Amino acid sequence: MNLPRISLAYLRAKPLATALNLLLLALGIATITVLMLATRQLEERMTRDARGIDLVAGAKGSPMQLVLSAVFHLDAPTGNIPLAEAQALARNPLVKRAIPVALGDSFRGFRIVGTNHDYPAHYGARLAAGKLWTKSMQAVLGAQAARVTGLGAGGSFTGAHGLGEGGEEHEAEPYEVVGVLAPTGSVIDRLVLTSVESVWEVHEHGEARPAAREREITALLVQYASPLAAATLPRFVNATSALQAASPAYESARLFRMLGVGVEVLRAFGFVLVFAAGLSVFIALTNALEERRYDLAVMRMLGATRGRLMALLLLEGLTLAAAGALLGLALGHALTEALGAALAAQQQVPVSGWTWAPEEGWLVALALGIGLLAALVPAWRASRAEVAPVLAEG
Amino acid sequence: MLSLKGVRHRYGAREVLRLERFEAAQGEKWLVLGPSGSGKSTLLHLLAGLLKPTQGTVEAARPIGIVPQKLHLIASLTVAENLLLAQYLAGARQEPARAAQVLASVGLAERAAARPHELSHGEAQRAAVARAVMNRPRLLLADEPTSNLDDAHCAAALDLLEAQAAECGATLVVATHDARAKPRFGKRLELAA
Repeated sequence: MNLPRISLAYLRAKPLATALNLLLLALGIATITVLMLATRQLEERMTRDARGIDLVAGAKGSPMQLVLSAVFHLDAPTGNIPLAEAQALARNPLVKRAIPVALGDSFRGFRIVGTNHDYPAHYGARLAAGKLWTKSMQAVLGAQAARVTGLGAGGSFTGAHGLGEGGEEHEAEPYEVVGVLAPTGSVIDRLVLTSVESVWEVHEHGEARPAAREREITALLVQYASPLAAATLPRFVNATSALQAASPAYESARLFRMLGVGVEVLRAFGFVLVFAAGLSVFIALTNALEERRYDLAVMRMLGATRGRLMALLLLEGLTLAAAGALLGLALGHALTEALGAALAAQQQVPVSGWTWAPEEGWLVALALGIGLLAALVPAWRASRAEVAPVLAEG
Repeated sequence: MLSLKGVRHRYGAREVLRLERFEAAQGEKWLVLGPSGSGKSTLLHLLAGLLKPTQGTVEAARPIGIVPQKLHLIASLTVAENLLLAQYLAGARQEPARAAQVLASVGLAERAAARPHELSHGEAQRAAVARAVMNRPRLLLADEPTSNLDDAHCAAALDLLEAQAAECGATLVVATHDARAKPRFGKRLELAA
C-alpha cells in the first residue's frame, strides 16, 4: 500500500468521471499536438524545398500561386513564359544558376516536371536505379512516385493532361522510365522528371515544331550570384519583362502568416480544452472532498499526517494529468499519422506521426502544472479537515 | 496505561466533557457508559489524540487502535488493503502475512479480497476491529460497538473486542450507551448527560 496505489484506487472507484476527465484533457493535448506536428513538419518541408531558390520567375499573376506551383508543386501555375525571356534572365550576371520548369501533365496525380539535370542535383537527389534522362520522352521517377505507381526503370507510362488525376491521357506519347531516385525527403520524391523537350513534344501532338523563340516554359528557378541581386533583380524582372518575380522565402512566410490565423484559433481551442479539463479535475476533486470526508478522517485517525493527505489529493490530480497528457500525445501522433496518410493519398506534402517535437515536453509540463493547480485547493482543504467531528457524526 | 487529569473539553462555549481523573492500567478492560451527549465519543477522541483537551492532560500508551461507530472502511480498497493501509499510514512496515493472520482471527480469511460494500454489517464490524488491531495497539478504543445489534451479535462483538485486546495485551476502552454491556466489565466509568 502506498499513495499512488491509494490514488489509483480512488480513480478506479469513479470510472466514468475519471474517463471523462481523461478524455477532455487528452482531446485538448491531442489537438495542440496535431497542430504542432503538422505545422512544424510543413514549415520544415517547405523550407527544405525552397532552400537555394532565391527567386522564381513566371507568368504574371499571384506571386504566392507562382511559388506554390513552381517550387512546392501544390497549386496550378499562373501561366507560361516565353523561353527567350527566361533564357535572357538566366544570362543576367546577377544570376548564378537558373533551372527551367515546364509543367502541364501528371501521371496518377504525380506532376510531370520538364527540367534539366540541375534540378535533381539542386535537391541532392541520387539514383536508386537506372540513370537520368538523356533524350526526349525519357523519365525519372521520384521515390514516392515510384513506390505508389509501382513503376521502375524499364517501365513506361503515358501522362495525363492537367496536374490532377482524371485528365485526358497522351496515349500517343508514352514515356520510358529510365531511372528511379532515392528518397530525399523533399518535393522531388513526389515528382516525375523529364526533359523540357519532352513536355513540348507531348503537347505538340505531331504538329509542326514552333520556332525556338515561340517556345514556352512555366517558370525559372533562380539562384542569385550575389546578395546584391536580392535588392535589384526582382524589381528589374518585374519592370523590364513580361515575367513576374516572386521570392519563395517571402511567399512562404506570407502563407504561414495567413495559415497562422486558423492554426492559432485551433491551438487556442486546444488550450481551452486543456484548461476546461483542469477545471473539471478541480470540480471532481472538490466534490470528492465531500464524498470522502469520512475516508480522510479515518486516514487521519489511522495516523496519516496532514501532509500525506495533501499529497494524496495532489497525486490524484497529477495522475489524471499525466495519464491525460500521455493519452493526448498518443492520440495526437495517431491523428497526425492519419492526416499524413490522407495527404499522401493525394500526393500532397507528407506529414508523419512518427516524429517528436521538443515542444511536446512543454505540453506534458503544462498538463502536469494544470493537474497540480487543479488539485492544490482541494488538497489543502483535505489537509485542514477536522477528524473528530466527522467521526462523531452518528 | 492511560491517564486523564483535570480534563475539560468545550466546543465553543459548550462544555461537553469534564473529568477530574481517569486512570487505567495496561491490559485492563473499561466500559465508558453514558447517554447520548454525555461526552463518550469526545473522551475516546481525546484518548486517541484526535482532539486536544481545552484544559488538562491526557496520556495514553501508543500505538492506539480505534473502531469508530460507523466503522468507516475505505470503500475503494479491499478488506486486506484496508488493513495494510493502517500500517502504511502509521508509518509501520507493511505485513501482508499479519493482515492474513488478523483476518483469520476475526473469521474473515475468505473475505480478504472483498470490498466493504460486499460485506454484511457483522463482517464489516469484524473488518474494522481487524484494522484497529493491525498495528498491535497498546490501547484499543471502540465507539458504540453494539448499537443496532441484537443480543447475540452484541455478545459476539464484545467477545471479539475482548479477545483481540487480550491478544495484543492492550487496554480496552468501550464507549456505549448500551446497558447490555455492563455485566461484562468490572471497571466502568459512567458519564452523565
